[in-house]
Amino acid sequence: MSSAANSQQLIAREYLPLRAKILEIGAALDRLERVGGDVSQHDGWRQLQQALEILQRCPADRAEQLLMHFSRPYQDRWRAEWGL
Amino acid sequence: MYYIDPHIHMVSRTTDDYETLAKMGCVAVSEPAFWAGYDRGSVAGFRDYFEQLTRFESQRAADYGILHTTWLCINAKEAENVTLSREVLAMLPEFLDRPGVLGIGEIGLNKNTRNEAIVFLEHLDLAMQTDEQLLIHTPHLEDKYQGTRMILQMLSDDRRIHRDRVLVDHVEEHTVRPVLEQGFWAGITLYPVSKCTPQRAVDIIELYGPERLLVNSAGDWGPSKPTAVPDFILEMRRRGHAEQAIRRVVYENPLEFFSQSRGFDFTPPVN
Ligand SMILES: [Zn+2]
Repeated sequence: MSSAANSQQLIAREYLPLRAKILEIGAALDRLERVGGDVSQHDGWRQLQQALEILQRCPADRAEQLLMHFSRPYQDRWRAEWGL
Repeated sequence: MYYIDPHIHMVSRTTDDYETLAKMGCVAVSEPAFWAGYDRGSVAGFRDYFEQLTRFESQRAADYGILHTTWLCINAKEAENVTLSREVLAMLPEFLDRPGVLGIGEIGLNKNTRNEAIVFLEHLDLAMQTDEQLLIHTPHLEDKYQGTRMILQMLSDDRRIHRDRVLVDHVEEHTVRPVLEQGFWAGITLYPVSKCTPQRAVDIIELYGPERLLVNSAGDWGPSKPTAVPDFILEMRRRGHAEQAIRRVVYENPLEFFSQSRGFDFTPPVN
């Protein structure tokens, strides 16, 4: 099968599930806003906003980039610092 | 298709689950020792747990034609208590030569603390002295990347370790590459929310190939799905992967990895 045929098949299959997931995100953000109050200073809220930007900005490896965004950093001197 | 679930906590599941797994083609499981949902109060609690894992659970599985194998340790969460951990480590060798014991696991990190690292290193040392394989838990969510890198660091710093006898579990897109590149086995856990979906697991197989990759349900007492490996098989089929390629991941790979353990005694089903 050509890659063009493959891509047509894939988008046909992924369209509805992806549409549903994007709608879920929209509805959840609406829900948070409807409750009122200010969530803009909540760490989780800021992380989610930045994650949405990553989705828009990254041309590839989006899942990996998103996971890195949600991760604590690693520093390689930890063993020496802890005397292990 | 016959398959093996290389990471599932059957002590937390019902006998009905064994029946369902058997009907879906599961012929063997491996059960790492883990956290019970509460901290055990004493070394005696661990002895009883190891007794259950090595004697009762294997019998319960055998009634459904499933080989039950297990890994023993004190898990990363309770490893915060170094004194208790050392008592458990001292008692562990009593159980390591029992049939069905594949090695030491699931050790690892939870919140990536100094105490967890101390107990992890002491488990590594015991495994090297007793020639055991290792099954390693990597932390959840925001701690996973940091914890996985710390674990890889400790493994690489120990020259005695044979990397093809170590499974680093719960990898995701941001941790799978270093695990495979450094020569370890990698496990993908299929969890509804906190780990990987079957779709993402198949993506990882497509990106990295099937070599040294395993998929598991990590079914336990929390939200999890003991039949997640069949979900992965279905997703592979939907994408047009050959039966042989699927079988490699869900059957042949775990067999190859487990066969390096002296406690593994498996008779394949007759075709
Ligand atoms: Zn587990």
